[in-house]
Amino acid sequence: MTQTVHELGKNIIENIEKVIIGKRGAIELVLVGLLCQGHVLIEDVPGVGKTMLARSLARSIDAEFSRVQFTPDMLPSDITGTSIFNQQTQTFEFRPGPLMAQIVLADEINRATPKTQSALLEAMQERQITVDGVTHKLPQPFMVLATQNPIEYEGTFPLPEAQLDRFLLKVRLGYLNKGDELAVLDAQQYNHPLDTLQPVASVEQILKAQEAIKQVNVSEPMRNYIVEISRRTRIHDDVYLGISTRGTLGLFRAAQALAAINGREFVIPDDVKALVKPVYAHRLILAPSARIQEISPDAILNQILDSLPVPGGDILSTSNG
Amino acid sequence: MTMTEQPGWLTKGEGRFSDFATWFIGTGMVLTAASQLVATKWADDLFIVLTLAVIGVILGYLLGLSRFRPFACIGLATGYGIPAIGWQIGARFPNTLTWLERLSNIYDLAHTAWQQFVHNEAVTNPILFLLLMGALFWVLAVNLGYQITRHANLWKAAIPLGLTMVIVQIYGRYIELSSAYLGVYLFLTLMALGRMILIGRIQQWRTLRLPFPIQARWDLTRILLVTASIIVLVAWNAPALGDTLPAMENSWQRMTQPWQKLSDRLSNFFAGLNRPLLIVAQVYGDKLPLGGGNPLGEDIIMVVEAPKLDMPGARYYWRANVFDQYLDGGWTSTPQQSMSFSPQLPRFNTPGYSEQIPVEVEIRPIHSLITLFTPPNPTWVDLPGTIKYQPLPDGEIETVKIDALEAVGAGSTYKARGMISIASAEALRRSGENYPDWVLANYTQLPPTITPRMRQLSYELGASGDNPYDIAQNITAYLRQTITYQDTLPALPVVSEPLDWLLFDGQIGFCNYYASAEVILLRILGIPARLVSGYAQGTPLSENPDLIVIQGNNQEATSQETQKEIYVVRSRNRHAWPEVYFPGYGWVPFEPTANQEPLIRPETSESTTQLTPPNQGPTSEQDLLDELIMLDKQAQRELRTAPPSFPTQGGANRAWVLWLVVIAMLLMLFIFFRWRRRTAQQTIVPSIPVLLLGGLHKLNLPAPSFLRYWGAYSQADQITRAYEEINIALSMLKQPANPSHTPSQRATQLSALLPHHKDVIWQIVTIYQQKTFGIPPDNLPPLNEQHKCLRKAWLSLWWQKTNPWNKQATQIRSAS
Repeated sequence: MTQTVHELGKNIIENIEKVIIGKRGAIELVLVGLLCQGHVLIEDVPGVGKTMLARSLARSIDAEFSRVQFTPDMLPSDITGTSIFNQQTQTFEFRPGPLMAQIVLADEINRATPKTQSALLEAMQERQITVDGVTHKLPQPFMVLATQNPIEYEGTFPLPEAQLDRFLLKVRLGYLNKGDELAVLDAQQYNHPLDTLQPVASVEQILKAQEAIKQVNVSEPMRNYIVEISRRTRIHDDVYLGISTRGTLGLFRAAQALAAINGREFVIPDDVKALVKPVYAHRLILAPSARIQEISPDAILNQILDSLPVPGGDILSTSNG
Repeated sequence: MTMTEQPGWLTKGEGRFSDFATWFIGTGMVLTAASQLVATKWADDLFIVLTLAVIGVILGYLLGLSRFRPFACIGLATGYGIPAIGWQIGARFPNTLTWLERLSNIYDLAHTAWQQFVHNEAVTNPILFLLLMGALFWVLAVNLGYQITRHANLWKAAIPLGLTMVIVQIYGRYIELSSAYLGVYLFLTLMALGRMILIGRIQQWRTLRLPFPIQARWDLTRILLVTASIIVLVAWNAPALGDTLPAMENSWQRMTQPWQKLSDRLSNFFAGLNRPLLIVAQVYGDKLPLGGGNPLGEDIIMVVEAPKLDMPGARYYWRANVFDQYLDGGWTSTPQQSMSFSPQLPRFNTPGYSEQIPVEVEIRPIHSLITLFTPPNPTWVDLPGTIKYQPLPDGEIETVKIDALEAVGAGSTYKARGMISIASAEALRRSGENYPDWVLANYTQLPPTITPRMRQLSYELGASGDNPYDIAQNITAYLRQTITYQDTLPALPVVSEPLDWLLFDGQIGFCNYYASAEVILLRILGIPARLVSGYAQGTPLSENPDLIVIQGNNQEATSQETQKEIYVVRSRNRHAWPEVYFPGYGWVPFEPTANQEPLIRPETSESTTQLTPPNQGPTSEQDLLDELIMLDKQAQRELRTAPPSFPTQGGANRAWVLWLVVIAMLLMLFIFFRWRRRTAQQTIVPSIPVLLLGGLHKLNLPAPSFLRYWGAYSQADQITRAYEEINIALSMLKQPANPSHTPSQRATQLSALLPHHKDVIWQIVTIYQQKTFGIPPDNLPPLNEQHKCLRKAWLSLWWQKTNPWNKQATQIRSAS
């Protein structure tokens, strides 16, 4: 079962890699988000392939894709859809908005007004939208890939930290290294590889995989380890607000997904360590003093990870946990 | 359940402790205590307590199991006890007597003894003591059985018996292997205790319906055995170990000081009774079988103050008894006449001989005694007593044995006079063979078992001398040369004449054999000789390095008494020697026993002129008193330290014992672990580190990390151990893994160091992760091979790095 997830994951990642070169880690994380039925926040400068990543993912799994470019004058109905009076039938007809898709790229989410933002976030959480008193279920799988530009903050409405909690993962793409960038030039000399990208999986397979990862074993020491990391963020001096239980659960699920992608039926400490920063960093609210000192959440998480003996690391940690 | 009316003397028969193993051990405890008492040899028939103890303990078990109320049990125990003791003592009487006669005999004896006791006289028969001991052990044995079975209370059962053993231990200084009895007792008590706790627990488990493996009993019993052995070994050697380390010795003494004070008090208390209840030093009776010998100890028997004998060849022997008849491999003292003697009389009517000097000695026995030790040819003692003697034709007597009327108590002193022959060799050679009739009649008897080759040997040795003195010297020299001294002998072959075996086959023996052989060889040649038993001279105080300090304190006194000497006579000085009769010179001792100094007589009488003046007693009463007080202290000190550590033995002996103990303990541990490993599948008992950890945890103490590591490792399975090898390798290669590093990070770290073994390392880690984090399938490979391979790999790398002869490593080091 996990073997099929492994196969599936491998195919999808390899497929996306044809378009997005040198970003295997980020692709893996996005796939983890997909398998966990979570949403991913991609934070990076423009032009590093955020949209391409979302598109190629949608293409690879043969999913319905839509893109919303957020602007300050956008209203909630612009993304959810509206009911329009059909004069021929004399009835209101629902015209679905861009949110009614399987993979939604919410570009520059911080440019929208809080009203619109919250409509999106609500849809992300509830997986349904209500327009004019009628509830519409969103399609399965449903995944929002929101992007955010960390540089250009003018005229933006930054997401409140509590809202960020709704995103399972925050992924950074970053610039390519020289070799990869040259490879991009080679690949796109004549045409864009996205145009020729073929689906390698079906939506049904994804839905099955989403169920399958829940079977991945998380041993008692590993559960302890995950909870202990969350607990330590809450008692850390530089942290104003630590990880919520939703965050802990997110790390738990993400670790399962990553283990499954790597073809394992059990979570190992490496899975958790690899996922702590993507899952936790955007959820931490730093203490004012830490902000002044420009301590990053990543540094705090590193510190916690380094001070915590890993389960099964040596014979003593195995025996008495 | 219907309650039936119960008679008053019955109780509900519930909650009895019944376990055959515990009963068996309990019987062993009683038997050990009884054996210790028997080993004191305080009385001849003491072994009846063994039988009584066994019957008693069985009765105790039965009473404990029964439904009788306690008072009924006491009644029954008494009711069975009196006949049992009577029966046991009665069985000692000759079979010809009817039981009624025996019982009346017992009563008579006990009555007489009681009268003697009440009138402060020496109790002449041990019946009272036997009765007392029989009753005591009966009570103790019944109590032990009853307490174990009825109340499952080992303390009430074992402590009275243990206390009795300690008291017997204090007063029974002659017990061979004395402390071994207490050791065995302690061991058995621990076993019984553990066993009872175990049974109690198992019952508890049953009540709680806890499942427990069937092997639990056997497993726990085995652990019990090992633990009890270790405890006893350690406890037993604690004082001995203490001797090897001065600091420990001090603390040991400090620890035992109160106990020694108590022991002194106790002995004072008993001394205050002014009644030697037990005759201990009755070493020689009227019969002296050659016997198998005894290991001779260092206990002090007596301390003798005597004039110093300066001339060569003169030596003291402390004689007890004289034997004249040799028959069936044993000596008998045949003279039966006896007469009482009072110190008011100036001296015994013994014949006078030339070249003898009178000596007066003061003897302080450490144990009470009846048969008095005297110098050779005793002429007087300052105590009233009975003399057994050989009547001589002209009304004179030849003393054989002197018994005091009243036992001489330990610590008191008596004086004795005797005559020591200082005849020169020349004089003895000229003495001729004109023996008186009574000498020939009594001291040339030969047993019919003499073999032809003994005669042959005797003639051969006799041919080399033309007078009795030279012949005796030759025989002495021959025996000293050919017979090897050995204080105990193996079981002798059944032969009609043990001396024949000694002279030709065995050629090993101790004083009895040497002396008997000399006497018999001389008698074959018609030279009158006899065997005398008693003690050899002992160690002069001035030659005993350990006692010099004491002497130094009393410098003045000793300088005034240069011609007096104090001899410390110990158990090992027990001796028998031959005396040969020379007409005109009387009885002259010879020394054929090889472990004694040879006795060399001066050739001519010139050298014997400078005798010590006879009766050169102490210069003043006060001096003598001082000296005796000092001696007394010394003797007490000696006694205290004598059994465990004797100064002349030296520390080397102790160290040897220490090593023996260490080796024994290691051996035990080894066996224990082998056992464990072999039965690892079945054992439910946690390993030693786990036990220790549990103990520390219960005491709320932090466990040292090495112990925690050891515990974890001992509990870990093969896969975890193989994985742990990665951590071990990392720390040995000076790159210890960060605790926050995951197994795969560690594997990466080690793979960088051992690139050729990357595959092995990852195999181990993969399997280990599966085992630790996943739901492991049953058929995970055990990783033994990989483990060994990895160990070899890192060891060789480590050796390369640390090997000082490795040029590469040196270069690397110097470069860095």
